[in-house]
Amino acid sequence: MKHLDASIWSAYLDGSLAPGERADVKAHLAEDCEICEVRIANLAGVDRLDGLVDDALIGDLDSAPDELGFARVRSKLTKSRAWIPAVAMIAALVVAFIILPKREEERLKGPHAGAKLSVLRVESSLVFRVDLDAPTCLVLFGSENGEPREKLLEAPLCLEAGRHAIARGDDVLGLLVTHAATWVITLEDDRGAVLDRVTQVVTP
Amino acid sequence: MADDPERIERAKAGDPLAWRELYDAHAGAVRRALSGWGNLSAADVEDLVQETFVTMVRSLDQLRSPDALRPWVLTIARSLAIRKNARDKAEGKKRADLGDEIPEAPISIEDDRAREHRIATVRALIEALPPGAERDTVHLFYVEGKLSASEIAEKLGVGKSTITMRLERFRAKVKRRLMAEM
Repeated sequence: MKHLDASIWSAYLDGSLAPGERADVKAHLAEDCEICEVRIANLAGVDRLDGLVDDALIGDLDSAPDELGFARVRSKLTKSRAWIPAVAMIAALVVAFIILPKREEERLKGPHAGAKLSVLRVESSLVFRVDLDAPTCLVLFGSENGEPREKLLEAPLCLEAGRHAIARGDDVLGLLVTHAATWVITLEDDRGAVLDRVTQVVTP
Repeated sequence: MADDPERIERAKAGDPLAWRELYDAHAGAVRRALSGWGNLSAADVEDLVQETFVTMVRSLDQLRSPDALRPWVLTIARSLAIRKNARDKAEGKKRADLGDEIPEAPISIEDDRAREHRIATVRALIEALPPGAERDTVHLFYVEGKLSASEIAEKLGVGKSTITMRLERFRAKVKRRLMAEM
């Protein structure tokens, strides 16, 4: 019996080998054969057996909840929201947040004068700035074109008094502008009190 | 997984809670599979875990056997890792054109007994390994299942490539055996 090669492997998986040849291959595979194993390890691409092999190797596995990982998956699936590496847009952020804050939005003031939300266009994203008179834990909601609002922050963000970008570590929260829309962004504290609300009309 | 077919239907309808349940049920296995790969950093692994689930949710209509979701997700993960490796190798040159096709579903429709048999086969192959470096590596990665390939390399005092090569060789042994049983 000759050793496996890519064509035999493919024909065996497809069931296109003649019965006698298939029996030979099957018998050979049942024996330890380092040459065949090296060839299997070096097969290019993915075949229909790979998932079953990995599943059998890993078996049942308990894994800890991965809040951050799922938040990123959900963000990608909902398309509009993303945590953007600040380093990728640092110059634009400096202009937007420090040098020349630009106000294009229509402001509807909330009941708390001590917290002010600004929505700013930076490159292809909307990013958020808050000015706080006192330490506050914030929750941010967004509603696109009158749809039910969704949380833009998975958990309350607690900040000191002062001016802040809505960020997590080195990532800045952004709403990716992919189409024309009207966004209503609401800033609340962690007890549900509305602090500020901004309506922003965007075009790509 | 027994709950997968119902979760899949809800996920197809855009239910974020179903996305979450699928992620919680399978992300750990995807992460473990990817963490045995040769040249992926810890950050690469996390990126690929997330990319795998985004691809999975967007491709659920193509899954023919909802009971076979776990092997299918692992196949997607492997395919994305291969694509990433090819792109990394092509960096600075022409990017590899690997397409965006979704891998086929695994070969057979799942049932619990067949899966248990495959897992038992793997365990028997591990037990049959002679004492030594390969057995230690495989045991740490697949039986204890806590350390990444890099961490095992550090623990055993060898390079990461040595560990990933041992894991790939053992994986090929499993694949050969499972193929013989087809």
